[in-house]
Amino acid sequence: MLLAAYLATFLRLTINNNFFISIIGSFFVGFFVSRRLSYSAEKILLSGFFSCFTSFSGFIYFLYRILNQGDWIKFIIFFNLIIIVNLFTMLFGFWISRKIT
Amino acid sequence: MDFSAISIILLGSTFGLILRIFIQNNLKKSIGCDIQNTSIVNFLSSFLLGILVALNFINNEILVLFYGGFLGCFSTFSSFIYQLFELFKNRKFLRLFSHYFMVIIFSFLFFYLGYFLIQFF
Repeated sequence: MLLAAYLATFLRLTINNNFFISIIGSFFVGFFVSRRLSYSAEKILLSGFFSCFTSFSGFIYFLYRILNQGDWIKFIIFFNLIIIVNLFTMLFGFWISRKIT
Repeated sequence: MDFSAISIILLGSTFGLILRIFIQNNLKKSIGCDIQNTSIVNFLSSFLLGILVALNFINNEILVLFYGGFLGCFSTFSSFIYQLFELFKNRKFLRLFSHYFMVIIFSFLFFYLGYFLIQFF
């Protein structure tokens, strides 16, 4: 699990784009949760890799920077948009995975 | 990225992962309330982020590495979306919206708590 976490961290720091990372993470989490994974595979992939790959603190920091500009409307639009897009990306990953199987 | 930077990131990632798993597995039993453990992890990471922002972490290489390594592995965005996804799948739309807004509001409350704590002291 630690190796998965290290790989995810370096991948996240290399890509360095929180929105893109969250979309990829949400898609693959949706994809893998619909599959029958073993307990260890589930822990390594979901708890180890994808939890370290996506970053909630990165999301909050991004929103803080918008809020710091005093742009409330942009803040409300962005936080809703990011969550809705990620939620539907996860649903899409789940649906694709079901279609494949 | 030099050796010391990689070491800080690896060390931060290790502690972040271990602490998250510990909280996710243990904290709910001792607190005994209905807040999900993933949300507790994200509230704590928001609090720590508030402290880092107050310390002007962007201008400090070690704090940037702490943010990328420790906080990146400690907080989890995918689990938050997964919680919303589970509520959506089970058609619990009211709980989905309340959870959605509760996490955002509490995250910012904890963020500013950390931020103002450093500003005052």
